[in-house]
Amino acid sequence: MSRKEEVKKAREAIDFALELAKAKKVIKNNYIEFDYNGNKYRVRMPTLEEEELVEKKKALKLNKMLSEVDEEGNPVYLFKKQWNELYKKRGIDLDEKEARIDHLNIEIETLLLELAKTKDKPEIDRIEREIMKRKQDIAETISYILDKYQYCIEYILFFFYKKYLLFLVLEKLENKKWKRVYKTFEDMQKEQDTKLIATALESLSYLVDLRMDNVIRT
Amino acid sequence: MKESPLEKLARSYEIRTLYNNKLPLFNNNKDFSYIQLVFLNMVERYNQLITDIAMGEENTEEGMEEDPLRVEAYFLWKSKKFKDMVRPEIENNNIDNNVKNDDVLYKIKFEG
Repeated sequence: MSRKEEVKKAREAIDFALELAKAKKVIKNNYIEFDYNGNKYRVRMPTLEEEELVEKKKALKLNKMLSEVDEEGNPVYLFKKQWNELYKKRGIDLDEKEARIDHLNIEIETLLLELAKTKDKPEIDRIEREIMKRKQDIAETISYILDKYQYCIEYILFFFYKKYLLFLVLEKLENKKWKRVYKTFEDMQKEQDTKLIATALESLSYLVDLRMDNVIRT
Repeated sequence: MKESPLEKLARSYEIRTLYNNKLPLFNNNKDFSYIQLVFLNMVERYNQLITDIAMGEENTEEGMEEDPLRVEAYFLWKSKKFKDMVRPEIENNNIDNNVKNDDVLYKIKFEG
């Protein structure tokens, strides 16, 4: 092994150890603390009351979106199904993309059953490469579908839910006490520091299931 | 396939020892976060797999626990094998007629 390869391997080992330490920290509590710009922040699990409040806010947001119309009286926001039909008229078949994901999942299952029965290393590597190719294909297809549905009501509502929840559970340590970072949701919306929000959202995704594909593929 | 830090942690001796001795894995004992539930599921799986490897169960071998795809493959195969084993029992109607769907798997009448 050359010196360069040794250094690369050592660096990978250190990165992995750091990731392992991060994983330990993330699972230890049902809240996640992080440092940002010299301050201590945390994202905690929402209480039942907060969950109820988010649902209420979601209903209000939905109501607002449903009643919003343009100058010609057409609805501004459309549901996923309506976008799907519009795309179809433009020659983009998103149902076909979703069917492709199902098909790839079936292929993966077949390959996994094949993998389970082999102990031959080259064969294991070959099957795993095939599985990874299909998993990559699924990830790209989901990303394509999500991109097409980014203006649908379901997507906007989910994004709103995530942000509102974050507003309720993002706290900063001040004088040894945890306090909500923003006084109002509107204050958070005006936040210029998007990196803080992105970091906090990442932490929130460890606490609450925020997988977007589950929302769109229903 | 390379395992993630979370997977490595879930199959670690430290975590499995805590789990097998019913000692707490987390600081909280209620209101589990999403990642904690995912982790618990992982720990249970690795625990099962390591027992199966030690018992020399079909399609297991030392070291496979380090490969998440092989772990996924093994459990898929195992659950399929279980279903294939149970299905003839259901088709032969050798089950309690009062139970339906998923319950069926757990309510097979054993004749002694």
